[in-house]
Amino acid sequence: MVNGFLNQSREKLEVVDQETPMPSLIIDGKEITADPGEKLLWVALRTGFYIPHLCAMKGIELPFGGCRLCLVEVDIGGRREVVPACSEPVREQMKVYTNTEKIARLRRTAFELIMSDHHIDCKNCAKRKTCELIKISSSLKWSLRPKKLRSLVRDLPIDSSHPLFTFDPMKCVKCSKCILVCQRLGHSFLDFAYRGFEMILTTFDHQPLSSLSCESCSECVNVCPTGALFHKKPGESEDG
Amino acid sequence: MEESKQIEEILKGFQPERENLLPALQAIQEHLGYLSRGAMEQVAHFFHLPPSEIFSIVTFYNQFRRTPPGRHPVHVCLGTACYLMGGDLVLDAFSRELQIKKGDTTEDGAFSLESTACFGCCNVAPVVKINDQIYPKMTSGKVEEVIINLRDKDKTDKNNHDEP
Repeated sequence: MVNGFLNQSREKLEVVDQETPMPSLIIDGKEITADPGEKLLWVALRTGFYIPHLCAMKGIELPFGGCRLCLVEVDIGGRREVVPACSEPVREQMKVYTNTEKIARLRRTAFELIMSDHHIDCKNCAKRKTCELIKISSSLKWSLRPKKLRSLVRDLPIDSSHPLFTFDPMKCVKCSKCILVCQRLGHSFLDFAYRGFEMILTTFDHQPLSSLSCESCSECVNVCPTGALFHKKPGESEDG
Repeated sequence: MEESKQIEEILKGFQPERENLLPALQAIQEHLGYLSRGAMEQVAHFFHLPPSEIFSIVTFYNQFRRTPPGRHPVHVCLGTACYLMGGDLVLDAFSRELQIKKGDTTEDGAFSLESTACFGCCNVAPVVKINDQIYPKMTSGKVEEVIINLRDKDKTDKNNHDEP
């Protein structure tokens, strides 16, 4: 995956207008040249620095920045700040620290918060092979189950009305990726509703997925990093 | 006048720009008491926004309600002073007695339950407001009495109305 980003961005680099100055920054002591306006996360990833991320999407004008897993420390003009790498544009002379003790602690807490209301049922989960939560936890050697926080999984109805996919809100990490892809395709069937801990991903007035004029492009399922939106097994009936 | 016609009239007073969305929703709720599914759809159409986004906004803000208010809308103050004096216990008591959650309306349409922040009479906290009447120094013990009195009043009003 990181390689994919690498190729994509290199291609982009070559077409950059020669007149605009290319900002050079220092990530963990290594000098790096980036595209003007490029976001830190993608620069770091293509130059070989691993930063965990869940909600980040390339080519999004306004990054959501909700998962807080890509937090990094930046030092610009002597001021050191913690920022999400997915929304922070590169700047000349910026010093970036991707792996300090403080960052590790903040990311770990963010991950625990995500997992504390996640229905952990990997054995029966349709997305266990592609799950981003599993990937992140294993690459950082974190346990999936929160250690400091209580598990507070809410009892929410699963929508299996759609013929092709199912939505399980108890596995949703509220990354907003499905909302953004559906929006980009001009439909916007999905959005968040309610606020704070009660926030859920849903449709207008909680209409069942099957009642929408959804064209079943499945982009939302493909982009979902967890088992919240998953394809039904072939032959599976409407009721589950 | 039909609901959709009334909404149409209200929306005529607004330009379909995003910054007018909240004032428009407020105006509709002010007029009709709540935002029905149809109202949200009409607003979405008028502002050229996806209905899911309108729903997201309406559910985000406490000030919007999606069910018609009861004949006696109960507003329990959870402002700082009222909260410290046990406003949340009063809210719990109303919720228990009326068997509805905050934001809902009883089945008979008599009561709805809401929490608000500060009516400006913190000296008599915790405060509850029902039909523009302030109930000062509320306790959970007084809740039942307040409800019974209003139910009785409803009954006598109905009888008086039926007799002549």
